[in-house]
Amino acid sequence: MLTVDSISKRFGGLTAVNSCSFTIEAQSITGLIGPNGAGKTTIFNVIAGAMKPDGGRIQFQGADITGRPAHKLFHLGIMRTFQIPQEFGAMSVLENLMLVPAEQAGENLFHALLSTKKVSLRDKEIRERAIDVLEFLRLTHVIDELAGNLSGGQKKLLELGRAMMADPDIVLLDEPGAGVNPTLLGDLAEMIERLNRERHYTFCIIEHNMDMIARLCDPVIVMVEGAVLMQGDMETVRADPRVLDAYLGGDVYVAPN
Amino acid sequence: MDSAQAYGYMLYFVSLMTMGGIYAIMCLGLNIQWGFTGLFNAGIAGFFAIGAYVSAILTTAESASHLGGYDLPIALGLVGAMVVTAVIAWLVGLLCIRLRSDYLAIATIGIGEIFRLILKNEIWATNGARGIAKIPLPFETLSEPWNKIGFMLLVLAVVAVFYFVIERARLAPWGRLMTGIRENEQSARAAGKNVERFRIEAFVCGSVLMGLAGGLMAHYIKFIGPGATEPLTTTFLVWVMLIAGGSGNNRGAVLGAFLLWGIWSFSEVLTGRLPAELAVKAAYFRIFLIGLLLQVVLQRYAGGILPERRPTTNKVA
Ligand SMILES: Nc1ncnc2c1ncn2[C@@H]1O[C@H](COP(=O)(O)OP(=O)(O)O)[C@@H](O)[C@H]1O
Ligand SMILES: [Mg+2]
Repeated sequence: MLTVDSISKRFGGLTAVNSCSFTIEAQSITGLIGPNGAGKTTIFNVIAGAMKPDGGRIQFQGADITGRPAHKLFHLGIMRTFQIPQEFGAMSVLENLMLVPAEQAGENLFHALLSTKKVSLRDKEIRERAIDVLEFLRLTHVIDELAGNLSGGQKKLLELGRAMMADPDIVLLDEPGAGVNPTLLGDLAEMIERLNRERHYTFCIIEHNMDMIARLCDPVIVMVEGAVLMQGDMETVRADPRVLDAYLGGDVYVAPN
Repeated sequence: MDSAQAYGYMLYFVSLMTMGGIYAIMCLGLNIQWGFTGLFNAGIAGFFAIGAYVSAILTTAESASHLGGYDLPIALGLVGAMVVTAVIAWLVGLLCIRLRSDYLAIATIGIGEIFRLILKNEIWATNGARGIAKIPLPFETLSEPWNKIGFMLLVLAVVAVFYFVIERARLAPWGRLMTGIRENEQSARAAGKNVERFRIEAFVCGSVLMGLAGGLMAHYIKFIGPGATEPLTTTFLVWVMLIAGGSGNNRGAVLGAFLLWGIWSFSEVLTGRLPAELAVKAAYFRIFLIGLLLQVVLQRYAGGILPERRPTTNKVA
């Protein structure tokens, strides 16, 4: 479904992504792990159109999407979340979700002023969907709160909520579990499973919580120093001594078994 | 108070409301740009000037001293002012809208000044420093004070119409999207929004109102020259009005315009009574006082007198 082919990205003298290649199969939940600074977030930025690569190609559903701008990729079905939450700070939590869906006639000024009936019907639909998403994320109690006032964990959930509002084909989740209340982590994993099973979303998940990766992801891609070290199911990854090596000195301990 | 004095106060009040209304239109325009969308337009004077000159040229009788005039009805002059401002704002938008907010400010200051210099120096079109006179006033056939009252009502009606239209747009997905762009451009892009296109749209909408205000001002004072488009009495004052009134809040924008115009005008009355040698300095002192006033307001009300309020589930703000 998504093929990353020899992508490179440099920041000045630093090569953050170095001829990185992998493939994400349709309807998989693919894990993307690796020590801090491995280039995981950067590859997401390149795939989602937030940054242009210095080399390489990206194919999505048969089309070459290399270098296309982020908003166009959204409409092709690619949604990404951010490692550092990027909420609309001075807007309410509900608005943060309602802003996302495509096909909002009311975004056109003339429709907003003249076809008010059509616009408000669609807005009602979107509002109901947003309320469902908030219930799912257990954020209903902060529905009117300004998103900037949420806790770090709540902001992370809101990131996921925006992805759910998008109805995408593929979701790129950048550390969705970081800072989220541990009792919610199980729910989070379950929700991702359900979206994958019921709505056929494909996922690519960057995550440092290995329990979550083990539970959800197959295959798992290990990135080190801007390139793919290996790829396989979690058992294979855990058994590979090179992975442990790569993480030494990092912040995550991968249990050998 | 004798009746002549009362009549004088009444005329003064009418002029306050008229000028306040014209500023309110500009403030609503800046609110679309800065309040909703976060676009730092520091070239208000330029768009105001374009609107003023276009309406003046379209509606004055034919004259050898400037382009036209085309002797068109005032309504057409104002529409023309809006159309020309829209086209120019769109071109400026195409050039500048990718700039970060602080650079956009610098670019719009420059562009606004370029417009003003062109208008001042293209004497064949604008009569240069001597300006365009004999601009028709609506309701001119009525006797005083009814012509002035009529114009005031016209201006207030324009303010009311635009207030309702812009408030409706603010609460629609359109306004939500603009504020999303203000709050987090990157996230708006990731949600599929064509940030550049919508920023240009907001820039054009806001500038059109500045052009309209320029047109109304030209008809009100019946004369337009370079002195009437000084950044101090347009750009600077409109910014203070919006920030003091409440950026992001349409009611705040309108309130700020009337309130600040009242204070500005009143301070002129006061400094007008000073001896002549102090009067020049007093003009600068007024600017200083307005700046100070803004500081005081912002100390007390961080978001302005009527701060921005987001819609909530139990009531629409
Ligand atoms: N916008 C940027 N400008 C400069 N350097 C960057 C930028 N983004 C990431 N980097 C650098 O690129 C490397 C990879 O970063 P990143 O992709 O965030 O790693 P990861 O997400 O795997 O922890 C790091 O050394 C980081 O400092
Ligand atoms: Mg990262």
